[in-house]
Amino acid sequence: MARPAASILPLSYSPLSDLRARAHAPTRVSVTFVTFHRPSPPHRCAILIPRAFVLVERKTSGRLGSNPAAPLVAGKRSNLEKMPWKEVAGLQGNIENQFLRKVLLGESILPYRIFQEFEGVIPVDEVGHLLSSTSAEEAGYPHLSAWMKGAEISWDSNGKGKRTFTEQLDYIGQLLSQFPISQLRVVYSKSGSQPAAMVLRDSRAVVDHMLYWATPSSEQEAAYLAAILNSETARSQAAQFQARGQFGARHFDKVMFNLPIPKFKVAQSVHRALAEVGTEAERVASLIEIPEGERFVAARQRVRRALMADGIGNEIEKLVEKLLRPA
Amino acid sequence: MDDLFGHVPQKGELFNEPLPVTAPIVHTPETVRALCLATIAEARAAKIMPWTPRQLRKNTAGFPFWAEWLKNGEGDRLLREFKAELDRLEAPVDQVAPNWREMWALE
Repeated sequence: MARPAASILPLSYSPLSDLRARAHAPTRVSVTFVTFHRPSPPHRCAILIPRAFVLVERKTSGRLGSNPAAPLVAGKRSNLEKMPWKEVAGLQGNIENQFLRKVLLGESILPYRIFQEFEGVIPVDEVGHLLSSTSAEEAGYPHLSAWMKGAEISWDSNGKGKRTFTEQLDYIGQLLSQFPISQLRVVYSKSGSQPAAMVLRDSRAVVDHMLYWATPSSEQEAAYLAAILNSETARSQAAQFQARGQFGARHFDKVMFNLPIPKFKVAQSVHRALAEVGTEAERVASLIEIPEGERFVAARQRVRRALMADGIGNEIEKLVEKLLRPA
Repeated sequence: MDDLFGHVPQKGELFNEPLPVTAPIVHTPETVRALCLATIAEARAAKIMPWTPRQLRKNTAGFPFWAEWLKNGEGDRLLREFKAELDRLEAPVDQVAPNWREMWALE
């Protein structure tokens, strides 16, 4: 297996040095202060697939109303599904509430704020055990067990036979590495030509492989990182590391972490200032109304426009420029 | 303790210790309406410009976005009321936000 190239810069928030030792392990961007995680090595696989077995939509029940302890849900279908899953029958059934979690995909975030949340059946119990249909039945979760049974049968019939459905969900530890879920995370979208990052304060949300996540030690550090990762200055400086394809620059992926981003120190005035403007940018972004039906690319542009109009966008750019300037 | 790969567990990672975390900011048309009305009221109560240039820029940058939360003409009406107050207070054109200048064709 080809190993990722070593970083060329001394790093404080770097994924790459750790990746060298983790070809088969969950991508945890190990640093001395904060750890960026990505649940899989580059271009290997995705978690939370097949989507229709994981992402769900609530359904209305019969005349008796819905069961609040185990709502009725159906697999969320999409015209982006690939063969053979697009032709596989969907799942529907009640699910014990505790296994219904918020799920964030790449398109779920905008700069400094959440955009579109999804809901998914995440078969992980309160102590962090991944449950199959059998273990869910044994643990007394009949609804989850029935759902998993349906997914497992379809997976076994249509999959490549390399692993079970539960093994797929936690392939190379990409799901369980998120548990116990931190109350405070910074999530960063790996896709797109413009990065987006936000502070996530939700210990029930599960993050898909299209996002990186980190567990900062404080709100200040979270705001500091979000400000840097959302900045055009960081993006333009990182662009030199971007892979290029037939249609121009490819996804940002981890290239931002090639930048010499110093670890957050409250004693550093630039770091504190970045934390402050990051917090203010979050406030500004929260006040932007996103029209129904707007796609995430347009919504990200709308938020960036608002930040620049406010002036906070420019303040962030100046501070990031100062932060990343060679000594 | 480091793991085999040199990963150092972060604060809160092992036992999910509670961190001091602020509540996520969630706005609704009601909270945004309150903000619009408070901003207009602050302007209306003033005889001279009550805001610093920085705050004036923030308010003029944000108000058109805030107004989009309020449907059925309410946002547009509040936007016009805010514009009228800024005209009365003679808000310096070079201190308002660029999107505000563009919206009202100010030069």
